[in-house]
Amino acid sequence: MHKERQVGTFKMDKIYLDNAGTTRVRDNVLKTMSSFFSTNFDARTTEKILSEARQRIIELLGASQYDVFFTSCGSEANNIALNVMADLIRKSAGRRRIFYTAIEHASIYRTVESNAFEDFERIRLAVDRIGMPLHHNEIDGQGGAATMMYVNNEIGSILPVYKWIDTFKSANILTHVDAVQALGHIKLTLDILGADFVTLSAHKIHGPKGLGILLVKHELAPFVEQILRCYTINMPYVMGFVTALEARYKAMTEHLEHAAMLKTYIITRLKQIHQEIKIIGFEAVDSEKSVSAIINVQLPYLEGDSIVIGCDMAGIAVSSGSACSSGTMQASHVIKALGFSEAEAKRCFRISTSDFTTVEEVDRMLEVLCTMLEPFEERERNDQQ
Amino acid sequence: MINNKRVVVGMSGGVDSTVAAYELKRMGYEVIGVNMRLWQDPYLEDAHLMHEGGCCSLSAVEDARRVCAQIGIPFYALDFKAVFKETVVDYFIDSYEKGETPNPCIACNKFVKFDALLEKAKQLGAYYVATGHYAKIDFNEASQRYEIHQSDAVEKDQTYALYNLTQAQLAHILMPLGSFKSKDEVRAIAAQFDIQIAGKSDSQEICFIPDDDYVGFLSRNGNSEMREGDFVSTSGDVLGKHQGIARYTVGQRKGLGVTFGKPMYVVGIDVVNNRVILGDNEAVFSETVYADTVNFIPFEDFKDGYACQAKIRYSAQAASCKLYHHKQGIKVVFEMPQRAVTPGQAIVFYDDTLLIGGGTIRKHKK
Repeated sequence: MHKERQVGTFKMDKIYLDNAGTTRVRDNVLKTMSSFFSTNFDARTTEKILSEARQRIIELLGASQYDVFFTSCGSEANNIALNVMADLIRKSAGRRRIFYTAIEHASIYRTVESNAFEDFERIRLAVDRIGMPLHHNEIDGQGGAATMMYVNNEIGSILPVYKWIDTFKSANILTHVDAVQALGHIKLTLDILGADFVTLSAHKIHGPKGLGILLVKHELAPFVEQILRCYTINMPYVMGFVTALEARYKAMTEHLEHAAMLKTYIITRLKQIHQEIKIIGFEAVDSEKSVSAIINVQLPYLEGDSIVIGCDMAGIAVSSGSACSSGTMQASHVIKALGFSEAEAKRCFRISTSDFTTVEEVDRMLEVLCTMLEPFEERERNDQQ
Repeated sequence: MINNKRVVVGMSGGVDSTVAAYELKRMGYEVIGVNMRLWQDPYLEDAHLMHEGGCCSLSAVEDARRVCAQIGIPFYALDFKAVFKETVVDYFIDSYEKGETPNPCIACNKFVKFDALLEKAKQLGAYYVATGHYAKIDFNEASQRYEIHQSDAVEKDQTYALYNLTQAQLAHILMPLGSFKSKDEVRAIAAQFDIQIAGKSDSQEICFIPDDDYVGFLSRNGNSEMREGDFVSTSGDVLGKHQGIARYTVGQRKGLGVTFGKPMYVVGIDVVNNRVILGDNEAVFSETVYADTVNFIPFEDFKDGYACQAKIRYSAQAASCKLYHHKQGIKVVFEMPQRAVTPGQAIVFYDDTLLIGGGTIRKHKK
């Protein structure tokens, strides 16, 4: 249930519907981390704790063919994977090219499109209206690298990564999967997925912010070690992540049911509010096709950043597009890549729920939305008369 | 629901907009501070020249955010890059390429601040947009029209750039600084806020050209190259070579790069023949001015021979004149000839301190 919290000097009574951005830490995660933070461990014990944690992660993710590296965030893990792939290709006889989809996260597309890949042919895979990458006939046997997200962070679509990884692998192409938004919503079995690199992040599943996880096939792990910065692993965070992951896996069915219930409820209500409200991505609840916790909504009349502001003033967090350095919301590159115009992309916003989200909270957000749409509906009615 | 106590204030982080927001809050309005992110020259953006100083810099966002927190109002940065590029920057470039001298602030007021921002304010449920302009908006009960009067702080008056506002826009605009008697009064109120005066050059001519090098700007962003051509006299004699018409504006004497026996001024620009016409001081004066895209505020239309005063540029003295309809626009006949009437600039009409309206200067004659 939604209630006001006093944290430090900040009073927070926000309704939080931006869980694809980040999530609050679960109470038992906090408890675990706290005990590991406030205890002295000698080096040998720390090594043992981390080794067991790695083992547990490997078990939970079905990743026996992988080494586990801890980074400071998902973006850093993505960056390392891309750089290691690039170095490997430069040293090999393979073609210097990288495939990536048009709807990747900024940490992927900005890196691929930066100077770091200037000696590479960069092949951007177009996607269809719901985010499925379209076939590219250059995927031949000449090698290279490919990176593809498992679940899109803005529309929740599940990309057919199994099929694509097979295709790339049979073309001798190194593969990376950014599974940050898949974790906790899809039961992962990385040994079967078979990508060379997989990125995860702790804070999307009620774990701590500041911990990314890069899983690397055993044979490639030495190349990652070579470029890894020297640092002390944040062991309490690692333990927090393991706790969060265990909690989610234990209650996966309940999590998925709750998310599906909320998605159904939200979409039903949205359709009642205005017939021109559209859902971007998969509208139906289908755990094979999309993550129910992410719902992208296109509105009539209102721009996404207006909704974000209107909700913010009412104490509700939702999101739209991606923020630039000044904090401005710009039309989402993802929505545009789906084939929508700049103006259409600007009218989108994202609701993302968590296990803690209640129907009452959703109702409050929908009330704000109704209030904001009302004058425009009235204007239209007046225009028609 | 549109809340008629809710107002969106354009915040630059500077003194004027800060005091405007503060005054509105004090008057009981529900104020939302907004910093408009505008298009910037990619060249300067890359060179990180935009990050310090100037009302469009990144530091301006942080300044605005900080003063809003001090005032106790929400703050948001909003993206207006596309509309600004289209209606202000492109117009600015086109205007120079047509041999005219543009006024980007007027275009920005018309299309960005009091159109795009007003539309955004409506989306945010606000009835009003407010700015830190020095001008007074009143509602005249007798005529049932909104009127704009010059600011009581005469030396700061900014009504010149507001002549395009329509009744529909004015019904939704607040300018709380209009009744301040001087900038010092405004500064006195601003003193309580942590405003970073240092590094804020509010004397900047054009916000998207922070280095004031508009020739460099045009050569980077323009559509046509600056071509050398002839300086000619009013009778058509070739006097020398110019460096591209966009470098010159009517009335200009300095920087012609050629010396003559007597002071010579730019009196006209002939785009078709790529020529800059020079004349003596006498030739820079005109009595009749033709303008189009006109707008009037206290009335929809006037009778030929309507007597008022007009300013032919922001800093000009208002001079007595009469207005006549002429084709799609108007003809303005001054009592005394005016110096350096410049096509592309605005001619703005007043009846004493009341802003009557204005238009864009197209032609002029002796």
